[in-house]
Amino acid sequence: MSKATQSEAEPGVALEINGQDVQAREGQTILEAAREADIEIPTLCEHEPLTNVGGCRMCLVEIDGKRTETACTTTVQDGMEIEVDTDDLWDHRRTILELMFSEQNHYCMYCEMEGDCELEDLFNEAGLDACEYPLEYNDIDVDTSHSEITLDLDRCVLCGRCVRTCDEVVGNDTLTFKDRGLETEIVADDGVALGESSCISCGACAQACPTGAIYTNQSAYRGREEECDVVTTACTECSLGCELEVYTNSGRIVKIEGVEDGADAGQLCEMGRFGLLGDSRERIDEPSVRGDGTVDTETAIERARESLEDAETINAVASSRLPTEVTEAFAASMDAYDASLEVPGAKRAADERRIAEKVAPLFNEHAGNLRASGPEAVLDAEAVAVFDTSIVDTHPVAASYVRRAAKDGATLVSVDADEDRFASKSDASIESGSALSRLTEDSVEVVEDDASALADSDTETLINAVPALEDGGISIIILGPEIEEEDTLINAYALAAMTDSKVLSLPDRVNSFVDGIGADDLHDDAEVAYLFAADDREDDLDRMVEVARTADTVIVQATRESILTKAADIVLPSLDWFERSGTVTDASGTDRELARVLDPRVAIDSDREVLSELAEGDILEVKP
Amino acid sequence: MSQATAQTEDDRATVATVCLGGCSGCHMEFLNIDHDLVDLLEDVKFEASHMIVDEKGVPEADIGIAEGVVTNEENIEVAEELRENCDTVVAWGDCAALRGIMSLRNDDDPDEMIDEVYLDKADEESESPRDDVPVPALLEDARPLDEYIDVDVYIPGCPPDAEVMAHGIEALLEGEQPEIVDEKLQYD
Repeated sequence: MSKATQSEAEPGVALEINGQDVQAREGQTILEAAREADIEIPTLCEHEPLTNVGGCRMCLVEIDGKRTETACTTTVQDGMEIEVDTDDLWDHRRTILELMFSEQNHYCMYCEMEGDCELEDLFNEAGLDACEYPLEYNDIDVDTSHSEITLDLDRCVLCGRCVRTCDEVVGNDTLTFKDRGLETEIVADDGVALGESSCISCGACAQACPTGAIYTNQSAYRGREEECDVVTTACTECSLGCELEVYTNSGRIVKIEGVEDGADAGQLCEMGRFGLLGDSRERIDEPSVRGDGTVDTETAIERARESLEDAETINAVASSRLPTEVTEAFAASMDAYDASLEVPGAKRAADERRIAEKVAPLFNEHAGNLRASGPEAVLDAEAVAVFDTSIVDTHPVAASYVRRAAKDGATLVSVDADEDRFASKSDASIESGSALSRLTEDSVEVVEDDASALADSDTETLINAVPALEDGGISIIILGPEIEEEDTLINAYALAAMTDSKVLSLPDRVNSFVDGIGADDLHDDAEVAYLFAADDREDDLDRMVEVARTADTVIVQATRESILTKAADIVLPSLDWFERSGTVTDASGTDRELARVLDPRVAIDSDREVLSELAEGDILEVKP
Repeated sequence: MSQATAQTEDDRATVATVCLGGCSGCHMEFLNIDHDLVDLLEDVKFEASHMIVDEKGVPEADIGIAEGVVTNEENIEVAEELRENCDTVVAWGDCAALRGIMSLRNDDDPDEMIDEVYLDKADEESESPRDDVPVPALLEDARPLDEYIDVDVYIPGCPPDAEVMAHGIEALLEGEQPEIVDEKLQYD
């Protein structure tokens, strides 16, 4: 556990590394001190977000000419004289590398990681041009059972970065070591195929793997990192807005990775890492009008404008994946035609704001701002209550934080109408509707009547249901996307106020938070439905399809073909997630930047331009 | 070449290259030194090299170069001849230096493997090249050159860059040990 020491302001330690004077802080490891002084020490099993274990022995250094220690696990001491590059040390390293080489298939030319491989780099640095040891060729089958991740343990050096990532970053403990010594191998769960294991397909292990032992199928053999451009943007698949590092080569996306030095430690979820790459629906390149087929953009917009102008009643629905600027432009544009606008999640956001403002002071006059600063705040919590554990599927990165907190000893209380998805990690599972119903009723009564009702309510039950929240120092209440009923929201915020907890509210997607936009009630039957679907897919489209069914004329602005575009009278193209730019607001209220990764190759260059023309120039400046 | 030049004594260094259990990819890549081959030929005479000289044996030479892994009995004989007939022995490529892709067969039984390839996956006329068929017998394992003979210079790579192979020869001509490090040392 050498990581926690970095930020502590301790008195300085003076030492020498490779003859160079180095100032370090007490408690730092030799490796950390060397890196800060720009002195390179070779490493393999070390990985920035993880605990160091000193397993690979690459970072062996000579201390005071007497002993050798692993730099990643040895703390600095005043007056240490450290050598990194003696012939002896490089002999050690080369011997270890030759042993690794002799144990498995480390031939680079047909390996996915060739060119990006840390082991290959070390072979090169150590000058490995022959191998003294006989090849211990083990017959290890490649595990291709998982749809996104391939496990080729014949290229595994047992550095354990995947195991530690699965444990420390994802909190899922799927990958683990089996057996000892020469027999050691990485297995999923108790030795089942990865595709049949408890793996949540986040891909963090593949990102952490230094060799070609774990790689992702969609990105395999598509290009080396050094030949790629990298653009950082935000994910809009859920309301967390995780940062994505998108690697592109020659105008196509090679892979998506998480940011390792960020709070998420390189973690993404299946949707962010793989789902975004896998949308194979036909792209809508050009506008079309029913009966006329493909038309130019001006004609399509003109036709849409005519329909909107003639209509008495208009229903509009916007995807909740759009940047704030585009949502605002859409709202302004629809406003010009007196349309009723719905953005999924906007109602809940508005309800929550109202409830938080009203409820908090009733229960605790010092409550202040109840909103958690972000999902990482969960890690510091001593008690966590999760209302709606479906966040395991809908907000997997937040779920990882919850599991990590629970593993670190935080009390975890799950409240769910269905199965508790945190199962074994929960200290208490409360079925909403049973014990919780008391809680809810009590809280609602208090809110609806006045604070004095609290005295009459069964306060003890209330507190007993969540003793951890009451006792704990820092506590967090997480609200999943299915928590929409006013009663439950009131209950949760009341609970938060009473127990001095912070609330991390996780609606489905990011731009549910655009103030006052999209909370209109739609008409039962509208003459025209304008459905800005963008790259929404599958279940996301259900609501829009429902709205389309009740309209006479359907206008769809979408990125790809779907059941919705087939039903449309006018179809306008829309940008895909990697072409958009602007800002989104994440679950903690922080703005995150969306950056254009690739230029669009469709008839439009900007969603806002289309909207601007639709409103006949009513919208101000136009940016992509 | 005029009669007069041909009669003067050829004092060029001699090189013999052989291909053991390899794909000839190293030899092919070596030809990518292109026009530099012409310059190189001023200092070097290739006594044997299956892509440029019609010589099946392993003649005496200053520098002996082997591509490929030792995978059958003939490979052992050729490797031993190379060592005996040449002053310096160079291993070209991943196979000769580090076993390479051919060693992926090492966890299979050689007889079963041969039957699978020559009988099971071929037509009815096909014979298995073991038993009485006069082709070199497969060894139990494919092994790198230095498990059979001493090797003086290793140039891994699949294949190594042509320039790196040429550099190896040029350094030896200068009487130096080639330094195959940094970007010259590669595995793909």
